[in-house]
Amino acid sequence: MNRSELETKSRKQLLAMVERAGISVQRGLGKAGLIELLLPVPSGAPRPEEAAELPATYGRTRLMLVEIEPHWIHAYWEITAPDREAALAKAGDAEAAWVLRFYDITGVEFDGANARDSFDVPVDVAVGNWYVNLWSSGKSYCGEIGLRAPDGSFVPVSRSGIVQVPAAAAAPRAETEWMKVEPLTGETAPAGEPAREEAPVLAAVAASVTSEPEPVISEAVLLPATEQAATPGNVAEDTVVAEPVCAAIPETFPLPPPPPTVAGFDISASPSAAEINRWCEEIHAPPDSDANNNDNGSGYATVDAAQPASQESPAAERETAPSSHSVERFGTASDGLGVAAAERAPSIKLELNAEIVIYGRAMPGQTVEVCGRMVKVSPDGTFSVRMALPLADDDVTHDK
Amino acid sequence: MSLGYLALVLHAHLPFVRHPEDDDFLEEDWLYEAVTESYIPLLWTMEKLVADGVDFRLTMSFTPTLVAMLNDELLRRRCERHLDRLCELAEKEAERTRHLPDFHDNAVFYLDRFRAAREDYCNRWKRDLVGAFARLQQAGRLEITAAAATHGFLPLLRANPAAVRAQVFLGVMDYAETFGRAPRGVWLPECGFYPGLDDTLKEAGLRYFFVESDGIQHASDRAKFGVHAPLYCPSGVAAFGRDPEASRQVWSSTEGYPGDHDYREFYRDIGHDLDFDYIKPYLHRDGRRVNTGIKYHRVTGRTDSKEPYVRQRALDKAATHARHFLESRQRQVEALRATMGRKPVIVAPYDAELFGHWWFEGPVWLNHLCCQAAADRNSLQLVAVPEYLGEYPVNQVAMPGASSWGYKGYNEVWLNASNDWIYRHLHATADHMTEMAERFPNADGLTRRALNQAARELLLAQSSDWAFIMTRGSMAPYAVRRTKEHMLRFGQLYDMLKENRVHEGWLGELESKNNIFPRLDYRVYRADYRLASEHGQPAIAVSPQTKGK
Repeated sequence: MNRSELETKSRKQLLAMVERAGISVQRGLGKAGLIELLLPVPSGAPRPEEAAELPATYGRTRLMLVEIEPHWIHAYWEITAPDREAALAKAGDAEAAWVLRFYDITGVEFDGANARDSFDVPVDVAVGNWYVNLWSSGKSYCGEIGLRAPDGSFVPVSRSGIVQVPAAAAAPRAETEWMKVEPLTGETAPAGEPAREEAPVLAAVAASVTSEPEPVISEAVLLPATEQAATPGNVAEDTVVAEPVCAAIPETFPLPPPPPTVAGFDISASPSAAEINRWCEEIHAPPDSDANNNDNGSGYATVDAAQPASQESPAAERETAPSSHSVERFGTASDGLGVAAAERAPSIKLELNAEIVIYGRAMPGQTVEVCGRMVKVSPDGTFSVRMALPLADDDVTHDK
Repeated sequence: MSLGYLALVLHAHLPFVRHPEDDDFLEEDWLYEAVTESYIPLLWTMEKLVADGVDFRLTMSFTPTLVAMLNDELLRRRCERHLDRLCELAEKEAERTRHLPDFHDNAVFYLDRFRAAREDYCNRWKRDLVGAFARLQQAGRLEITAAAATHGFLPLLRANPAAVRAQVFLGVMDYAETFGRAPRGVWLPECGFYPGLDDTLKEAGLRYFFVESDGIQHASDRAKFGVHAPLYCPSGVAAFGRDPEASRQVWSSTEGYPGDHDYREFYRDIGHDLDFDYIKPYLHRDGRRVNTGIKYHRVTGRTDSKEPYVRQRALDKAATHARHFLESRQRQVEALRATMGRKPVIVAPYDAELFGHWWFEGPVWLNHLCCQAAADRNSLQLVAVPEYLGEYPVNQVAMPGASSWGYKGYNEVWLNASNDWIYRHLHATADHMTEMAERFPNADGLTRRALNQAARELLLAQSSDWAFIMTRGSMAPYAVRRTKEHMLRFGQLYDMLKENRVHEGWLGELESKNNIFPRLDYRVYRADYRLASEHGQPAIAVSPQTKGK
C-alpha cells in the first residue's frame, strides 16, 4: 500500500494496521507518523545502518583529560586543520614536536603561569588519544596540547579543563568535624531507639589522643572444614535400581513404525510393550558395583573418571575457586545476564546419555497414555514422549 | 537493644534492551532470566517474610531502565511467553527424566517452580512486579532508592555537568512517578562517586548514597569510624561505605558462599547439555545454544564431572551460610561497638541479580538471614538508612574520595583500551544536547518531540553497561552497536534540528522503539532547570556540631 492509499485511511484504521504488523507504537502518534511506520522504507528518513560510523571529528579543537585512577589519566583531543596549521606556522620550526603539557595546579587558582609544577609527555598527535602515568595521586592537573620546539618554546593549541585524580591514601589526621542533618519527618529511629543528638563520644580518643580509633574488623570466620569440603560422590545411594518401566502401552491406538532413534536398539518395527520393556531392562543393567566406580547413577558414563572429590584436600578446595563459579569479581558491576555459558564449557572428553523417543499420532482430543502416563496430544494429533535412560559404565567402551 | 546494624542493599539493574522489530532477540533474554530467576524469587522471599510476620528491613534500587522494561506491555507479553516456554520444557523434562531419579526430582522441582512463577506473575502480580516491590516499600519492609536515569557512570560523564544533572534528576523524577513519592536516597551507578557530585544529589533532594569503602578511606579527612558510620559530605548528603568483609563473603569467587559445592552449578544448563534436536525449540532462533534456566548439577568442586544437584542439601547449606554470615556480622559489631562508642552500621550492597540468577540459593539465604536476624535482635538489627539517620543525625563531615566498586576501585573498568573511543563521542553528544536545550528554551510540536528523543538517545548511549560489556569482551558487538546506534540517531536528530527539517515518520519510529521516559522534558539539560518540589525531599537543613557538645 502506498502513501496516498494509506492517507485515505482513518487514524484508527492505521493504528489497527500498525498493530497487525506487530509494530510497537508510541501512544498519541499522529496519522502522519503511523503512515510512515507502515511505508516500507520511510522516504527521506536517515537510516542509522547506512551511516554506520560515528563522526571522525566534531570540528572543534579540544583537549580532554579524564582520570582513570590515582596514577593514570586518559587524554584525548581533536585539533582542526586550521588550528593545526596555525600552530605549525607559529612554531616556525620544523623540528617542533607535539607534546601534552601537564600543569600541577593542586590548591592554586590557575592563571596559566602559577602552576606548582609542569611536565611534558611527547605524543603522536595523529593517534588522538594517550594514556599518561602519574607518580603522585590526589593532585589536580590542567593540560595543554601543543608544539614544543627544540629551544624549549611552546605553542599551545588547546587547554583542557581541570582534572582531579583520586587520592590513593587516607588523609592525614586532623580535627574531626561534625554536623547534624535534620532527619526527615517520618525518618524515625528503629523501635525504641531515641535519636542521638549528641556528638559521638570516642572512648578511645578520650583515653589517648595518640591512638586513633581504627575500625576493628573481626577475623573472617571460616566454616568448619567439613562443611566446605567436597562431599564424596553419592555412589551408593544413587545407584540405579533396575525397575521395570514402560509397563504397558495402551492398545487403543496404533503406533506408527518409528525409525530407529536409539543407536544400538532396533526399533524399526512397531514395538510391543514387551519389547520396550526388554529394551528398558537391557538399558537398566545395574552398574558395576566396584567401589571406585565413578558412576553416580546420573546417566553419565564418565569414562574419564576424575578422582572422587572427597580425596581432594579441603584446604586446597577452599583456596581455589570452582572454575565454573560465576561471581568472579570482587566489586562488580551489572553483569550481562546472557553471557554464554559455552565460553566456560567443561572439557569433558566423552559423555554419553541414552534416551528413547516414543511418538505417534492420534485423533486430536484423544487421550493417550504411554507407560502409564498421560501424554499431551498436540492439536494436529501428534504426540511424543522422550525419556532418558540410565546408562552403565560398561555399556560403552572407550579408548582412554 | 541491638549493638549494631546491618543494611543489606540489593541493586537491581538491566540496561534498556527492547527490540520490537525482532520477536526473538537474544539480549532481551537478560530481562526474562532476571525476572524468572531473581526478581520473582526475591518477591517470593520478601512476601513470605511479610506473611510470616518476620520483622525485616531491606534496601533495593531499581534503575529507570529496568522499571521501564518491567512495565512495558510488549516485554511483559514476551516475559509471559518465556515463562510459558519454560513450563513446557519443564514438563517435557519431567517426563524425559522419569528413569533418572537424581534428575527427575530436579525436573519436577523446576516444573513446579516455573508453574508457580507463571501463576504469580500473571495472576497474583498481574505482570506488575514493580508494583509488588512498591507495596513492600509501603508496608515498611523495603526501602527503595532512586537510581540514575540509564545507569550512566557519572565520574566519566562529568565533563558535561548538565549530563550528570540530567541522569540524576531524571532518575528522581522517574522514581516519583513509579513509586508515588520522592526518593530519600540514591544508588550511584557502579558506586561511582567524585567530590562535588553530592551537590547535584542535594539539588535533587537526595539525602544519602552508597560508596565503595575506598571512598570513605580516602576521604578529605580521616574517617573516624571507617566504613561503619556514614560521612556527611559538606553539602549534608550522607555517604555510606561498603563493608569489605561482608561483601567478600558473598561476592568473592574464592571465599564467597555461591561457590559452595552443594549449590547449583550455573554453567551446566540443559540448553548446552542436551541433544540439539530436542532442545532446539527452546534455544535462540539461529540455533545458538543458550541457557534455559534448567540446571541439574551442583558446583561439586574443582572438576568438570559435576554431580547431580540435591535441592535439600543446598537449602540446608543456605541456612548454614546465613547463620555464618550473621554470626560474622555479630562479632564484627560487638568488636566495633566497643571502640566506636556508638552503634556501627555494616553496609552490604550486592547486585540483585546475584540472588537467584547467579547464586540460585541466594533468595533462600536472604530469607534465612532475615528470619535469624529477627529472632535474635540483641546483637544485630537489620536497618534501612533513613532509620539509621533518624537515630544518628550527627555524623562526621568529610568529602569521600573519588571511587567506584569496579575492579581496582576507580574508573578503569569503564575506561580502558577496549572502550576509550566512546568518550569523545559521549562528551561531544552531551555538549550538543546542552547546546540544543539552551537554544530552544520552549520548543513545542515536532521540535520538542525531536529534542526529547535526542535526550533519550543520549541517555541510552550513556548506560555504563555498554562500556562494561566491551571490557568483558563477551557480547561486545551488541554493546558497540548500541553505543553507536544511539549516538548516530542523536547526530541525525541534531542535524535535523539545526536545519529545521525533522522527519516525523522516522521520529515516530524512534519514539516507539526507544520508548523509555515517555514524559521526559529535554529542558532538564538546561542550566536553569529546577526539579519540581514534588519530586524531591525538603531541602537538607544542616547545623555544625562540636565534638564536646
